[in-house]
Amino acid sequence: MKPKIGDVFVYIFIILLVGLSFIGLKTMGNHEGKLMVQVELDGSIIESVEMPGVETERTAREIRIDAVDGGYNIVKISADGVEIMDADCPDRLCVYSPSIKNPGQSIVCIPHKLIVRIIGQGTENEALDDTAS
Amino acid sequence: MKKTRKLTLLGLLVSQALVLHYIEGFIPVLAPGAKLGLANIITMVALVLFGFKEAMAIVIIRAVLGPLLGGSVTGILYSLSGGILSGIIMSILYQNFRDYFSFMGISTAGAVFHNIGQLLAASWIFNTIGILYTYLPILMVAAVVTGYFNGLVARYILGYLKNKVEIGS
Repeated sequence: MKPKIGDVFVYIFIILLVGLSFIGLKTMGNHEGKLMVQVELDGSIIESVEMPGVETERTAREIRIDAVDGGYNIVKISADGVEIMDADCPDRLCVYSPSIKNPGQSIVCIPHKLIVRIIGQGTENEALDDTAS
Repeated sequence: MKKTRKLTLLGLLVSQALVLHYIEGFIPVLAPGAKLGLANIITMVALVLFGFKEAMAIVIIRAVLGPLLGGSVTGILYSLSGGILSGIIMSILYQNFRDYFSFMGISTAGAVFHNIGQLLAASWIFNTIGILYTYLPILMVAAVVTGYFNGLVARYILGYLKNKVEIGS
């Protein structure tokens, strides 16, 4: 089966989108200064922890987040990144999500209304968060 | 086509879309958030057999009822935003540019815009644009595979239906 001309445009469009989102990730990750890990539950920020730098000793810490409806997520914060170790949400997509370490990245657990994100200093994200709170 | 006959066929398509939506929940996928989007097959079939209005009706009913079958109520928002956006895009492509696109191409475009719609809804709900960047690449790769497969299935189904059933009468 030969792809038609329109199909080629679809694939080009997809490649463009992937490229754009990588550029977006790169520009978001290009910030100096301290990074903060922010845990938001059901619209309100419940934890705000400084991201451990590479130089500091690698003390990984795990935070247990109790969801509003009675579930839990265990968030692991280390110099290597932030990830969700365990959760009892039905789909467990948050557990399977790769770990994050750049500002602007986030892990979301939709069933528990939980969002873990990394924010930089003076970034566009902080402006967004200000309007949210 | 008689009104009753059309209503029956549309009801049949809705229930088929719902069943596909339900069973694909049991099929594991590699990437987080990625789904097979099998219900998209039905959307395409409806689009070709009936048209834009009927296809969108099926999409909206499926998007509202599907998450209630085996998911959460918040899922409705995601399936609606993804379904409506992809339905509109596929309709435009099929009704205006069908000479330039294969079913696989239209279906892939639909899968891509389904993901975009869902991610836009998610970044609106969670108030961060970062979700878009993080999840888009992996979902796009998944969309290429599932979109091609769904388009192929839709093509075979339509080829069969056009020979066996006098839909247009």
